[in-house]
Amino acid sequence: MIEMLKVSNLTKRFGGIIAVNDVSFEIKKGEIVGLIGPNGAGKTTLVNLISGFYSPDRGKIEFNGKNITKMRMDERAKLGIARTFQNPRVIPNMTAHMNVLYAILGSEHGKELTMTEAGAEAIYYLDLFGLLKKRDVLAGDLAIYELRLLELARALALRPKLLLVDEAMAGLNPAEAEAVSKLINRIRNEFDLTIMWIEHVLKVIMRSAERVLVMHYGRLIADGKPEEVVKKPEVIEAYIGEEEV
Amino acid sequence: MIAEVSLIVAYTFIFGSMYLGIALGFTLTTGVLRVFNLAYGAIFLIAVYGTWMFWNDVGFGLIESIVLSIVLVSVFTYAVYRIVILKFAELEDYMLAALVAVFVIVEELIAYFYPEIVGVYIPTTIYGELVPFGEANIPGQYVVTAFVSLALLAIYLLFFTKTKNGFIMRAISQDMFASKLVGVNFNRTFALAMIIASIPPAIIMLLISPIWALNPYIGWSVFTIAILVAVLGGLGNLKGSIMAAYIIGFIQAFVGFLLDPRLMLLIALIVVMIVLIVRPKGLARAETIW
Repeated sequence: MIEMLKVSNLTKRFGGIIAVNDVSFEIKKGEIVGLIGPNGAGKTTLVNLISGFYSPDRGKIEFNGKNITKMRMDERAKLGIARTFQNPRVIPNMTAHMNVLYAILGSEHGKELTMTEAGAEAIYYLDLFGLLKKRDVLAGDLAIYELRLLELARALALRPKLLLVDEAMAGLNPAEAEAVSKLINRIRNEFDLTIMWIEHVLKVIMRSAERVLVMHYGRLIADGKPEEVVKKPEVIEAYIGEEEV
Repeated sequence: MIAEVSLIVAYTFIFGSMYLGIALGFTLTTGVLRVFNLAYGAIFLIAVYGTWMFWNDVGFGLIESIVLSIVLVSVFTYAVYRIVILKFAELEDYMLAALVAVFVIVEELIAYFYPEIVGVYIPTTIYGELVPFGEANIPGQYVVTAFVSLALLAIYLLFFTKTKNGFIMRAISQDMFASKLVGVNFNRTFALAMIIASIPPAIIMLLISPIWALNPYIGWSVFTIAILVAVLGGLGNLKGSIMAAYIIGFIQAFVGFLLDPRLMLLIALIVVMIVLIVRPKGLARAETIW
């Protein structure tokens, strides 16, 4: 397998706090990698650095062999890095359909499409996530579960190569969480995606991910197969007091 | 009396359409980009005095001078975006003050180089004959300006509601972050939308300039009309702006021909104030431009 994402010595400070501390890892094409760690471990900051929301103080990020460390967020999105958020960031004043349409028009392949073709493609993605009935509902009026699906539909509409999923289970009931988890696994297979999946809840990741990265206090403390990683003393120590282990 | 009725009907159409053209760019900047661009008034001045400078002082042909002045308007608008709007994006009150300051600086510069006594005149008359309408005769240039305004409205409406780039421009102001997330170059798109919105006022001002006596302070009265139309219309909704433009056109025609032409702007302002007291959000407050 070819390596898709390569992160080397990545460091990000906020004042005196080192949120991400000298983190290095690689993700190969087609992998589904879980990123876990207790609250405040630096998981979201790491995703923010990869997606271009923050720029690192030190270190390098390469995507398909290209150095993207200094690229803007929109340039990275065009290269094929899409993401979702713990608190969904859709455009509340636009309908579900328009939110997905916007992603298609903003993307590289959207340039080739007419407005009608792009509109039809948006419908396809909404349907894929069971949101067809909600197409004309303003995103601001959707429930949290629907917002998660809409964010995934929007991310997929960008036709990404790498999908960064940030705590897709937060705020969902067990049935909804199960449905979202199944959907992520399904789109990964159908769309040939590489996924980096942050999750606070371990159960889901243990079942879905082929490899798990563990962060604690900004550092990467483990990298390996899920069943091996959870047995490591430093991981158990990091999670002491956390119910989900 | 029939003559007066003809005049009022004809000038309601003329003024209404013209005001729509004057306010079009301002309405789009407010509705599409959510920026209350108080430097908009300077565009009217740069369009006519720029053309005059290239034509009379530099010696270019009239058409070249008009094209160059529109390029100048675009450069000015881009500079306003880069230097003022981007810089004060998080400080709206400072941004408004800075935008007014830009307008006044442009105005004072023009007043310095081309004081009123210079007598600037640009021969942009397309049709100089009178056009009969019932009992009234309307200067042909007014009719041309009114139809050009309506044509610009149609073109801009189609662009913003039916095209991909129009959709992206409408979407960027909704959420800067989400826009970057879907791969849209926010700064470039925003600047481009502002430049596109700066073209109609420049064209309309060039067409009106042979009829209205030009002076370096004319920007304020024209800009006042743009603000009145946009505010009465509901800040950014084009349906509202269309209603507002023709309402103000009617008031001005009515007052101008039946009462006293000197009261035209004053009464329009008072009526708009009263309407806004009853409907503080204007005639058609909406999140979309159409």
